[in-house]
Amino acid sequence: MLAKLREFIESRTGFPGATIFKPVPGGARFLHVPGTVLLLVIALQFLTGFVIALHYAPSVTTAWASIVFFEDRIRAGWLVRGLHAWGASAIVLLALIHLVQVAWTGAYRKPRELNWMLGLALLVLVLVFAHTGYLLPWDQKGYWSTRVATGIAGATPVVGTTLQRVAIGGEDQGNLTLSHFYAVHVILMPLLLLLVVGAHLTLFRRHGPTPPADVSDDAPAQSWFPYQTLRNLIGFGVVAATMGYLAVRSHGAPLEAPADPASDFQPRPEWYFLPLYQLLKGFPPGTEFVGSEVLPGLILLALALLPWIDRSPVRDAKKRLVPLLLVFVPLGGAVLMGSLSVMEDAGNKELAAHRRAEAKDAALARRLFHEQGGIPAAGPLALLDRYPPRRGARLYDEHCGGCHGRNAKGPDLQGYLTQRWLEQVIREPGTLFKHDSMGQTDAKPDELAALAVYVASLDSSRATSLDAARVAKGKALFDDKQCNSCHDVTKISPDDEGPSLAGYGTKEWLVALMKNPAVYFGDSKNKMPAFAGKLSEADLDAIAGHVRGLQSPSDE
Amino acid sequence: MTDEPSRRTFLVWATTGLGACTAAGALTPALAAILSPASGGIVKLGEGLLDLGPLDGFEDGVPKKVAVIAARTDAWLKEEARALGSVIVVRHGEKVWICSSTCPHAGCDVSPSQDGAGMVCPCHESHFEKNGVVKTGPSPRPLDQLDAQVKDGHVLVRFERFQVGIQEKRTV
Repeated sequence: MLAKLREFIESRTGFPGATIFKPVPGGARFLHVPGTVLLLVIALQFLTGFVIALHYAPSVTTAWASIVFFEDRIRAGWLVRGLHAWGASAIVLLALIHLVQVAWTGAYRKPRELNWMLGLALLVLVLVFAHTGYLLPWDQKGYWSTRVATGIAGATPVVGTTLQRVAIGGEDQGNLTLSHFYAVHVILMPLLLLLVVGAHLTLFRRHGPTPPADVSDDAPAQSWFPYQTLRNLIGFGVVAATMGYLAVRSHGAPLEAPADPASDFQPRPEWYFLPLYQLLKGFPPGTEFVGSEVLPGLILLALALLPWIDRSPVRDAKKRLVPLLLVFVPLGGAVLMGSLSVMEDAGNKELAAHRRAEAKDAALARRLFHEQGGIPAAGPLALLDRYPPRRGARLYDEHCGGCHGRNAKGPDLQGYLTQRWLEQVIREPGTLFKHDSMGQTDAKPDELAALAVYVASLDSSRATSLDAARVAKGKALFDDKQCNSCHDVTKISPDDEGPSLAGYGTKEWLVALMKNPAVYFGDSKNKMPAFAGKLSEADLDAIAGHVRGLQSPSDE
Repeated sequence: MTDEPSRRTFLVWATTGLGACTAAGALTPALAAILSPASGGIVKLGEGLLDLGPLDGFEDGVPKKVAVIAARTDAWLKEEARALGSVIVVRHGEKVWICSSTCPHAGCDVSPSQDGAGMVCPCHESHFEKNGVVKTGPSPRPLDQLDAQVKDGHVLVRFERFQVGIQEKRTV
């Protein structure tokens, strides 16, 4: 029965006999493995990519959150995405190995010239795939790397602006950029890839594999199945297991904080674009397109013409060094450039600090997502903006930072409430409160210190952590030096000369002051605007939290 | 093609086995993810009794369709006030009878009839009494009554969805 069915299919399609049992000239060998492994990893990308696409929503407000949801809430989502990301790297690597191998064995020559060119086209497709893919999560890395890349394309003479606008779908990166890249990544590229891979395989079946140079043409052949197939599967098994291991180790694929156009993220492309990135550093402004478009284009053209440049029938690689330089010089250059880039970054302390801050941001965004059970409709940035420390910092920059900074109108609040800051106010009030009439004191250094400790203790939440004896000493000095004649420490009294210090430095004190500073400083002396009615209670509270946090470098 | 048969047979099995294992290894995480939503927890409609507004807003004995506004989680999206769907409220003095406005036949949206005497589904012409009982049409069961009450002058309802197309009333 089975044999009959097989015969029926075989006689109509040539499968399996004429296909999988076709002989491998010179016998099965691991040399022929990379191409097939590449094909299988591409197939795996289709599978994992499809599963991600089932859960992904390409818009500025949804993309990042849909990826977090997929990784953390969909069973095995992290593994699928991890495999997809590592798969992209595996494909680039395998494509390069395949290319080098074909070049080395001279397999590009007659009659396989067209297949060689199709292979080069595949390499380009693979790179477009990778480039369009990592924007899709709309995280900091994707956003900023794409911004840089499309910016360079935009600087191309004559067609640049049009090119850039069509690519990103508008004047600036946004919703249409995501839908554009998504459509290219999941519709156009897969179709082109299937088409080119199909042609590549058809031609490969027509010409067969190129046996190594040292194997004579009449060496015994073996059938594809099972001899070559087993080797191919072992090769794929090793690659897939490595991808799986890496995906488990990194628990999914990297995901930075949601894209924030107002941040100072320092993007670096994926490793396969690093050579280009490094190369562009050397081009003067306005000529980058030479490095990003003209040079790669010329290299590609030279490679495409390789079958005609190298027409000698010699198969031994050692006797074909000149044409092979065409492959190895650009490749060596790329490795060199990539290594330079990695080495430069490795010694960059500022970048390392940036990366730590970025990792913290990413972790915070993800934590908030889970704490809140999702993001608001306004998108993930709104989620971050609701987080009080974040909000406090932003509102402070917006409403307070202009006056409260080094050499600004108002007192510099950096180090606010620290012993040092308080001592400075008491010792030389004019250096911080420039419009103030508070007198300088004749207190000795240890007395200054005690006074500062006493003022700090007016925040009851801090009082317990302070040395009681010093607080007592400070309090005695506060009365003795007649600080108390201007500063009430029990209540707010608008008639006093100086601001009330009742609950000094607490959130409540700061909020009350921001609402109506005149109550503290007096109508005539006050220069600070009142924020009552301008900012909500919650916002003022967030700012107060931020100001209190200025005493130590903030780490959310 | 020069191998002895036993070695070849072994290689055939080894290749087939390895191929099957590789395919299974690749398909397992993919299927796990695809099947994940089957366990639920993706969409969460407002929990507990939800407020439909003051009882005064409903005329005695006249069916009225209202939207149910409550917190809603839709995969990654969390909204505090969002229309979950609509219900049909029939007031009887100080009490209310409430049903889902989803037709038990095929899931179209049922509305009060023009004359206010009952409810009608526009898709397949199922007509219902004011108490949800099927008058005419293909609906396999009465309109799905929801847990409802009046508290402090406000109409409250527990919003649920039910499987359509079957005789039994079963939540989904």
